[in-house]
Amino acid sequence: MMRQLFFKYQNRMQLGLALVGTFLGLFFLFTSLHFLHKIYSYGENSEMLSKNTIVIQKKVTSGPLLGLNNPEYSNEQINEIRSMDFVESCDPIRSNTFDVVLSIDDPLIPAFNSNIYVQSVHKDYLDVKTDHWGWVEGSKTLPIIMPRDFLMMMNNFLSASNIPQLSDDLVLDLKIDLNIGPRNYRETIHARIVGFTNELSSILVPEYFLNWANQKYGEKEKEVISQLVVKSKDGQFGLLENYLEENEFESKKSQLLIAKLKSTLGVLLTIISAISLLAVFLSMLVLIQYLQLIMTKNDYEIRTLLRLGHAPNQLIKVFLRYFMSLFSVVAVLSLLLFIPAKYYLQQVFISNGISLDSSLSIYLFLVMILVFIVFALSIWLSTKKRIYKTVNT
Amino acid sequence: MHFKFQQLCPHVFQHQKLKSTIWNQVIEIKDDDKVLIHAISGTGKTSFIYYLLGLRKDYTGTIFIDHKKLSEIEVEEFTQIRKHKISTVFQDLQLFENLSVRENILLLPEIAQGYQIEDAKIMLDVLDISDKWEQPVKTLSFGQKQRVAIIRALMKPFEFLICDEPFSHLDEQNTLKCTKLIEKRLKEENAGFILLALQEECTFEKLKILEL
Repeated sequence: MMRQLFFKYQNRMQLGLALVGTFLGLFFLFTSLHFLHKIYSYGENSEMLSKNTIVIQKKVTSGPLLGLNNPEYSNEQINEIRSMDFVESCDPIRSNTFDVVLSIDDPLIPAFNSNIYVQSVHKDYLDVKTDHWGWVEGSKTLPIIMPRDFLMMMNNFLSASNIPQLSDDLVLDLKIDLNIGPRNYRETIHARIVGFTNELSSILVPEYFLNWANQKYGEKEKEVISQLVVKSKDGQFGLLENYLEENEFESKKSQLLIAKLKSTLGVLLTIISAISLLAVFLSMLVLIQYLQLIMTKNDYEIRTLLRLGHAPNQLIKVFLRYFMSLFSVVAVLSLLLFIPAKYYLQQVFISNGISLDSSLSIYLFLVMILVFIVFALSIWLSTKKRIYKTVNT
Repeated sequence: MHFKFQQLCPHVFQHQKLKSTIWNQVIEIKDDDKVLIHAISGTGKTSFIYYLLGLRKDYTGTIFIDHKKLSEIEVEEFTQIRKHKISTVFQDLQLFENLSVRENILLLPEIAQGYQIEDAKIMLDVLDISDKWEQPVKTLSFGQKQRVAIIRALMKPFEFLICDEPFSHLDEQNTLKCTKLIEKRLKEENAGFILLALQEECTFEKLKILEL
């Protein structure tokens, strides 16, 4: 009844505009904050090569063709790198000396076959739990680490075929087989992706498996060491980079590119978040002004109710409930619009090779709670101030 | 319930030598006292009611409610007094014009014990306006509104009923009907009564007369 008394006969134009402003502000705030968080945490948990670790190779020149420059690393060169003060460890990356054909037979994507290379590095260079990275002869599945380039290539192929692209989560569930050995007696090994790496272009397999397969199907004389994995000591990554430069070794630049991408997108999204936050607060200010207007228009009604014996807190609750229910509806609607928008933007990112974690950002809920608390407090304080001013008048 | 007025005087009368049984006196109104405060216009009738209800403070002297200084009564305590102990018919009625008669009664913080919202309609019937039950108050005449305001005040629990010129726009017949309703409710609540009127003659019996 009091709600009817206070709000039924009011012009709702200003209220409507303020609510639309709040709705848009919250929507942009949710979207930008969510992607800001996801962009910043992109690659943090999925990169399987541990911190301060890079893969190096000799710069490709026309030297080898003329017999002047050898792309392989000798044991002396490896030991020299190991002897550097800033190097914690350095090991060769081993490659397969046998044929490997990767085949994907999964309802998610069309049948896929490709000759590939597999490599392995010592387990100490990987951020992977031991029980996820073990393999012995007869194991049901072989854990593998997928290069991101491969995922991007696959998504480009799917996109061109008008098939939905794959997120990280979906790829982890793909049924993958590695067919190894000579064409006439291939062995099929079931594989399972346990993570991704930006540093390598070939699929990583456990060392034990590579040794076993090289011995069983490979040709010893084929094995060459053209890549090394190097881990620098903490805080000395810069010295390692200088050393690489001086010795004409190169590492993959993808990490650098991702860092630049994250930084640019991050700045953009931060600006959008700040503007959205400002829009939300301005809309909240308009809503509070509307509250003040309603209270001024209802001055007589408030005074009379108090004179009849209604408690000030009871009247405060009526205003608080009304505005909070409106605000909640607007917040829920913004969230409902955010879900498809998030899905759409996620697809845009995937098609550009950035597969973001699809779970909702915790910051989304934190900012929602914060905005809710700030708004409830503002409404409560301004209503309380006004009603207590009217008591005893 | 007990009221005590000690050397009470509105600021505007401070420099005048007032002859009154209330201003600048010590008087008490208590329990089931029935009082007619009679005064001509401009002598502070309505001001007295507002002082008593704690709605205005432009006076000197002290008011005690149940032996406690009015100025020391907290907001929450005064809310309880207004809710349970005092019911008022204001001179300007203080009805909600956009709402119906029924909705005006529904907005009472509490209905008297043994009464239900339908009893208000029965009272309206006694006063010949039960057909206005669902009608917005703004469509009623002042006399009809006055009857609605009286019924609203009677529907509340109270220990003291205060009426400021409640029959000013009522004919003799309606005034008598209202008087009977008020007397019945005063008896039921065993309550005190303060009536403010311009005339000394009134339809109530055995009222103690105070001059402003």
